[in-house]
Amino acid sequence: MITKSKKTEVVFTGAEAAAMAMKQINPGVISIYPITPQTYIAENISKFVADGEMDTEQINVESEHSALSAVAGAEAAGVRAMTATSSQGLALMWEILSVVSGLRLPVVMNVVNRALSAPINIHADHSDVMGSRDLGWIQIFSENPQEVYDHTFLALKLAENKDILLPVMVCQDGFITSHCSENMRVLPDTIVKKFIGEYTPTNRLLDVNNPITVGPLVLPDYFLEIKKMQSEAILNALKIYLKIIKELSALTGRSYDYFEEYKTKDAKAVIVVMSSSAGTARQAVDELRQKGLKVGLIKIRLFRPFPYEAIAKILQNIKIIGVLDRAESLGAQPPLSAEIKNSLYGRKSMPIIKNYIYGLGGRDLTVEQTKDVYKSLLEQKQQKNSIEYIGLNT
Amino acid sequence: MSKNRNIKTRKIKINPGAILKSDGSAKFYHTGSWRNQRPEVDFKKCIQCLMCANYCPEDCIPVVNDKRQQTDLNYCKGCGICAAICPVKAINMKRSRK
Amino acid sequence: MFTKTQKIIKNIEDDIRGMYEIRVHGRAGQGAKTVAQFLAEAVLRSGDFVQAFPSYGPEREGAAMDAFIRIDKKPIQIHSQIYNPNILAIIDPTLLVEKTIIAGVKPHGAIIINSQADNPLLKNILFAGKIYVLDASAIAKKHLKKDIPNLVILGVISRIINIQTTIIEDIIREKFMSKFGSEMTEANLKAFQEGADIAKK
Repeated sequence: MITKSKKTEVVFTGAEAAAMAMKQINPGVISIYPITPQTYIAENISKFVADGEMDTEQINVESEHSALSAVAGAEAAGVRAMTATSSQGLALMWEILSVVSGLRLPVVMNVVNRALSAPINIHADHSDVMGSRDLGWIQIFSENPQEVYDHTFLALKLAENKDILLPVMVCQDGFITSHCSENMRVLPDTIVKKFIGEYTPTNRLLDVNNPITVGPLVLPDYFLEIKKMQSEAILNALKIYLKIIKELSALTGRSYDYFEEYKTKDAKAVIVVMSSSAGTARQAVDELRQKGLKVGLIKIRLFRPFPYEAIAKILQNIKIIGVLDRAESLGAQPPLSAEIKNSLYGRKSMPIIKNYIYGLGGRDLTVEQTKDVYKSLLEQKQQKNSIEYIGLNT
Repeated sequence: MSKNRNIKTRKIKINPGAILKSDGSAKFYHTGSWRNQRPEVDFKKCIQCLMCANYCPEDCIPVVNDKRQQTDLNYCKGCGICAAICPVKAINMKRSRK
Repeated sequence: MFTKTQKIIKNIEDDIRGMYEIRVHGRAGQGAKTVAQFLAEAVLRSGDFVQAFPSYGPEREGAAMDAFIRIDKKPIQIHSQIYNPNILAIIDPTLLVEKTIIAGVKPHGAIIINSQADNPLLKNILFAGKIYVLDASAIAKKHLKKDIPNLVILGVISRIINIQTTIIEDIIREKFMSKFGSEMTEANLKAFQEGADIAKK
């Protein structure tokens, strides 16, 4: 429940946290189409705008495709523009995703992760965002409402950096985070304003004194170079990310490294996972450590660009790794698992890596199941690229 | 359009997102060179209704003092829409590369 | 059937996780989610940590749904559903038809059921811990003229977990005053207080 109180410590759901962050950013334009489980973001924004608590122009459109198109147009015109979506909504926006990234527009979008149809499912799953991982959007995963809130500001600062200029997806698990109220702290408006600064784009369509053309046709003789620039930009993001999180950490006291390492120094087995289940896994680590089992956890926060170097430094010293993916890449290695294995290419040693698929379509991952994964990892012998499905009813 | 086909020596200055720092740059691109038919206007039949000028997708029929002038052949692609729309059939499309 | 609450608290501290895990069963539209939200706000104001979330099947009024609440003195990191609650609340007595509804409740925990005392479905409840049966619907109808028993149940829960009822009363006033007006707010407060009083005994 978002109230008008001035308190900094609140209980918000992930959706309310995202809406609060968007409110404090106060972008020029929001165009947002409701889809479960993102709906509370859209409803809260609408309420803020209607109550005059935001200066935002809210553009009502008939679909997510139009929503992102409106946002892209607004950014090119020269204002901050934001939106949010899930699953089929993200899928419907798909052709515009690469347009926004190709035009180098710094859009920040909250994606509430939900399974892609078919079959129709409204619950938490990473297939929506994994389906768009190659398009040049920076992707950040959030474990809880506090992270959703913090990451939205981080995303904006990252997106608008002149050496990056790429859109960012801030992800959270549908229902598990978006509808879950947890304790968190909000920053005062003044601090947020200072951190995000004013939006000063180099090129604005509405600047009639410096006319520009946006979105030209490019033939084969120039296309490659333009794409290379985009690639360099997203790789720049890796270095610049570290500077921005330093600034944000100083304001909040919380950390935002590429990934969080939890008790990995002396761990015999480590699970690598993203998003809300990292918390469940951390609990499993705590409970198993109480019993004397040496296990650890790595929670990936930044998924695109993927921090291969940094993570390989840690993983190369670990004997057994279990990678938990909440999405499949059908017919190939699961997304996170593929990146983990890629990061270790050419390193002095290749740990035993076991792939797990969990939580598809909102299937719950329990502490007990995670503990079982650790126990099976600890007695692991190398298996060839097999994937185990946690909780599968045979 | 660059005529330098040697990619290694071509100097390129590209803005992020391929944003062009100009407007109206299409006018430097003479699409008339694509033409394989050309509109010929019989001004004796023409009633100056200006339907052709409105419908031309290239906007290459200049209108001065409410009267249509000769088609600007730098940009006319020869699509034939002006001939098709003319209510008095004053425009004839002639096969021609010029 | 109403017993002292001290035993639960002691056992919860011995629990491996040391937190309250509450599961509320209701039908969408009966206010189970409100119970979770108000509890969450109350826990925040008491200075503790909370996690509250609903679980729906089909998202429409009348469909069975659960609300989960975790309460702890330290930050809560588990993000999965509650399978072994120490407190279970059933807002709609017709849900008792499903015998497995109480499966997993910790033996030293408590079950709260909104039901008339002579409900034959109560025979389904085989439980070693404390069971609170109260006709919350009747209490709600008495004060609110409507069968929305959620705040009565909230009253019982708040006593069991030892949350100051004044904190929740403030929250009820804040949330309901502008939405429903003072008469309805007072009625809701009375319903909540009666639930709390019953649990006290």
